[in-house]
Amino acid sequence: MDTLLQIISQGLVLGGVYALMALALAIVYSVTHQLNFAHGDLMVVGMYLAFWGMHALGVDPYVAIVVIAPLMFIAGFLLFRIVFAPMLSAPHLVVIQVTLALSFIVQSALLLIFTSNFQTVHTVLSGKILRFGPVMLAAAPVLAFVASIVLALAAYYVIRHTEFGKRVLAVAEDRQAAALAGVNVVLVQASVFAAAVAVMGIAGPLVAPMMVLQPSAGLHLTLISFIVFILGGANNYLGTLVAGLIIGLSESLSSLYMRPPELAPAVPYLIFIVFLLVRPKGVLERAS
Amino acid sequence: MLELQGIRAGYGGVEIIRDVTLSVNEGRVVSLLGANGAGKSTLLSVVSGLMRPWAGAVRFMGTNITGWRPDQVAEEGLIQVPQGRRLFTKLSVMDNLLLGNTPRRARPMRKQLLQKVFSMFPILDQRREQLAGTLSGGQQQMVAIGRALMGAPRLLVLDEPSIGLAPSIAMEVLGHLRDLNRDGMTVLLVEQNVAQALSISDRGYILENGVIALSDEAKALRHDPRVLKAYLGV
Repeated sequence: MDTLLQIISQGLVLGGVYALMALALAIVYSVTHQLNFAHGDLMVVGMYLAFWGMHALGVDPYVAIVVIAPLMFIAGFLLFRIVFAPMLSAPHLVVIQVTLALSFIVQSALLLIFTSNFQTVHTVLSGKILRFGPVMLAAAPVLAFVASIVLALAAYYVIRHTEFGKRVLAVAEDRQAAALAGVNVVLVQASVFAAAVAVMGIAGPLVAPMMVLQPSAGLHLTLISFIVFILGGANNYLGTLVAGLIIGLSESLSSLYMRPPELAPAVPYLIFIVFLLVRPKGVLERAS
Repeated sequence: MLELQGIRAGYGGVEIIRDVTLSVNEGRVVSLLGANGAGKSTLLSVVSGLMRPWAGAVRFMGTNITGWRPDQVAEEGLIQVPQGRRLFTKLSVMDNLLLGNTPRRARPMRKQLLQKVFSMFPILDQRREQLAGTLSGGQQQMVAIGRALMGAPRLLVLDEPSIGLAPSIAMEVLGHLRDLNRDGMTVLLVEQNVAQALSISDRGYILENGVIALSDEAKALRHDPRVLKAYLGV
């Protein structure tokens, strides 16, 4: 029983982070209508920055976020202006190829700098345990979960209740009408993209203590975010959150119970296919 | 105020606008008329910056704005009400109006502009919290015009504001344009409905197959045998 509770709570933690990643992807998609195949790699960059800060400078990953997030915001802004903006009206296939290339570039750069050795990150919370009744949880994942939910809620608030958020919604619904109303569409797109990259810069260091760092870890994260994004119903905030939890839970449960264990990584994808069949418009949306 | 000189434009390799020259003088209502597919909307896209012309120049208040982005053009005070209203349907009426107030030049006037819009369209004041997508067609057109007015336009450009509206409501919309003009607003009106548009205009241009086929004072155009025959069914 203890193990099951443990696994479930771990699944929820994982799911919260997946939901956050998918939300970042979803908001970028809503204003650009393009998918970024380097999405997960950007989070891995965040993890390695935390690793580097810890080993080279002795800074705790949680503290390093204060520097990493703004740094990644700036990098994201430049990345959008230089790489994405010129090809926004290009066919989807072109954008997919370019972002895949970006993914390979990021992975190769990480490989060059950090080698292919598996790395781990330690924080002040490493080894700390929180007790909730019968459940004992490592402190780091709980922090990652809480931070993910807080960030998702903050994003929701900004989009729904600020002037910038209204512009984001306007650009998402009708780019030309927004431009005619005086909205600088490319600036909105670049800001949203940069914010999403910054969120990866926050999530990366938060989950790094729970992961084994490896330069090619990004593609898996990208695919999982795509799945959660689609499962959630493209632009449904709550749906994305639920979908993230579903995928996180299925991943952790299958890692324990799936036989043969080699098939465990396939389970989230199987669940994805099943949901596509029964709820093609998203977990919380009824097909009309 | 607005001068187009030798504009050529099109999509892909297809030329839609062929050498159009026209001007809109301050304080007037000018109509750009023509059948479906004559190139009216394409020409407006060039004016508002949605599309870059192949050749020619767009001048607004003495500044060459050719190739500027739409938000830069709006910042100068040239504001377009797009065809089909194109509201942000999932946002409230108020949010739609406030989005129209994005140009920096218009922001300090937000309160007065909002008052002006609500006194012109009192129904919008009552429905300010309603989602724009749930309004009737006529009310949506009011929001579309109101959104443009929130940008403090010097030149208001409207792309077929009467399309899809009942005739009486279309007439009402045109009446509002006349009122705005009386208060000093310059208006460039694009219409398929030639008779109605000419009735409130000072001057008209008739676009056929991407070229200006006719241009004259509105009064003269209304009695021009070519206009009567081709557009007014007389």
